[in-house]
This record gives sequence, C-alpha cells and structure tokens, in this order.
Amino acid sequence: MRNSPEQDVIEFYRTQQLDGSIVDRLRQTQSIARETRRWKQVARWLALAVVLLIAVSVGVAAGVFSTSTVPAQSELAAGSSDGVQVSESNGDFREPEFGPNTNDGSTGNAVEGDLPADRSSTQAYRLVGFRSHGPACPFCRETQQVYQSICESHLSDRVHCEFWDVGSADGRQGAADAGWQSLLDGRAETAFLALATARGEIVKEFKPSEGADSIRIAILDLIQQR
Amino acid sequence: MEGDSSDEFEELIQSGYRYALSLCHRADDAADLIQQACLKILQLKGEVPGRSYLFRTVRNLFIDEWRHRPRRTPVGMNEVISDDRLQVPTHADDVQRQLDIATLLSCLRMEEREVLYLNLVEGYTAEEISALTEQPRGTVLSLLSRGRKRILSRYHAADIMETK
Repeated sequence: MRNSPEQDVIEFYRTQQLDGSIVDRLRQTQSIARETRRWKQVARWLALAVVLLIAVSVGVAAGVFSTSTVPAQSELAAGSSDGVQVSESNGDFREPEFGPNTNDGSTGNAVEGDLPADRSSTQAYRLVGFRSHGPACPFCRETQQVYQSICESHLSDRVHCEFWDVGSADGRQGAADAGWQSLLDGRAETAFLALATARGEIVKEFKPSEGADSIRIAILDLIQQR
Repeated sequence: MEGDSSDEFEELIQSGYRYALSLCHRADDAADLIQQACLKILQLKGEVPGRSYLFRTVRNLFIDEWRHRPRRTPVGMNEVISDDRLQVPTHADDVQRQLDIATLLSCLRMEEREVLYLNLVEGYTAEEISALTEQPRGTVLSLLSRGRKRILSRYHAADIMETK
C-alpha cells in the first residue's frame, strides 16, 4: 500500500542530505567568519578610539594654544600701550605745570623736566624749550604749544624733553644747573626750542614759528644724520 | 551546548540544501547553491542568522545566477543513476522507467516544487510562502493546488501502472 503523495514528497526530501564533509567545511567557515567579524569589530573600535584620541588631543592642544595666546595677545596689547607710556617715561617728559603762579611769572617757579639718567650717552638727545613769560605772551605760548605738540607726538625714544621758564630767578637757576647756562647767556628774554646732545652740546636751535611738524622732521633728520 | 548549536547549524544547512534541491532539482547544483549562499551570508554577517534568511539568500542566488546559467550538457543516464544521493531521472526517461516521486517532482515547474516543499516539508503557511517568495498569496495557493493536482494525477497513473 502506497503512502499519500504528500507523505511521499516529505519523505523524499527528508532523505536528501548534504554531504557531511561539506557541512563540516561550512561549519569551519562559519567559525572563521565569526572570528574575522569579531576582530573586525575590535579593529573598528580601536580605530574609533584612535580617532577620538586624536580629536581630544587636537582639542586639548587648541585649548592650550588659545589659553596661551589670548593672554599673550592681551599682554602684547598692554605692552604696546605700555610702550607708549614707556616712551613717555623714557622721554622723562613731565607735563609742564603752568599753574596760576607760573602763568603770571611772579613766583618764578621753574618748569623743568627730569634729566636723562645717562647724559654721557651719545645716542640720547635733549629737546629743550625755554620761555621768559607766561601764556599771555604769544611767543611764549606758541613755544610752549609747539614743544607740547612735539613731545606728545612721541618723537623718539632717544629724545628727552624738558622745558624751562627762565623768566624767574629759580627757573633760570634750574636751567643753569641743568647745563643750559651757555645757551642762555646773552639772552634776556627768549622763547625758543633747541636740540642738544645728552651732554648739553647744542645741535640746532628752532624758532617756534617754524611749526611743530617741520621741527619734528628736522629733529629726526638730524638724529639720523648723526 | 556546543553540540546543540552544531546540530542546529547542520539542520539549518540541510534544510537549506533541501530547499535548494526543490529549486534546481539537481543534487550537485543544490550543493553548490547552498555553499555559495552560506559563503555569501558568512562574509556579510559572520554567521547564518536563521532559516528564512538562508532560504531567501538561496532563492535570490538561484534567481540571479542559476536561472540564467546555460544548461549543463546532458549527463548520461548511467552517471545520474550512479549518484546514490539523488536518483533523479530526466523527464525523457519517464516512459521507460518506473515513476517514482523524484520523477513526479521533476515534472513540476520550479515554482510549484518550491511552494510544495515549503508547505509540505517546512510547514510554511501560504502567507509565509508569499512573504518569502514575494508572490501574492493567491498565486501561492494556486501554485500549491496545481502542484498537488499534478502530483496526484501522475501518482494515480503510477499506481495504476504498478497494479498493472
């Protein structure tokens, strides 16, 4: 007695078997593939870790760079502004105190700047201004304005500025002590500017009427030539 | 535990082989097909995920490569018979030979053989076969019915021949 056709089909397929050696080969291939896949995942994670490490390193380096450069930049900016101050201080410029007592010239307070520390230096120069009267005198006022304009323009670090009111006895004495006696001899009333060496040797005298700009250019040329 | 997984793997491979056999109905082709499918899956996934995945891969591979492959040169009948794993005579020899189930199956279309195998041997429902083969459920049912009818008709004919 035969089975039903469905049963025969089922039995037919059930009896079909793939060769055992092929199955073993496939099993080995599967284990190799699993290992390969595992190592690939490990390699992928390692690569990711390396990329993250590089990114973190770059980030840290960037952070360090920014934290070191920003203060440096601000320091540089401060230094540049300090430089302005230094040049002013190097110039030993002190704003002339033309107070009421000075203006009228009655008290004879001397207006003077600090002298350079090293007068023996041949590289340093002194720009000196003199006046005999107060601001009421147009010549004295013009001399004072030209002097201030030149000194405030930060002419050169090698030039030190000083201004004397020689209208009073104290001022004339101070100017004499500063080494300007020879320059002032024979001048009763005067208002002019002069460029001298640190030792007090006169390089050139300037009239205020020449103007601040031309005097400044002339001073620079003279310094450059010497 | 290792043995269980090993048995499961072997059972999976054998099922895939039988499915491949239902598609191409040649033992050697089926063995090649299942090996190629396994290699493809293992390269991609590292392991064979499951039966449905294996079946789908086998089917796609069969459609892509085996269907368009030029047919092999006809093998001599003696050579076919000497293959004790699968004795599938060609359809031309049916008249002279005793009709057996392999011959009956060889007379079916590939689609009919496939749905019959999935339904009878693997126990897939028409819905599941429809999803696997990406055919409408009605087509699957039609193929099943037609395949059964064909087998039944020839089965009875064989029965008659036997009784004669």
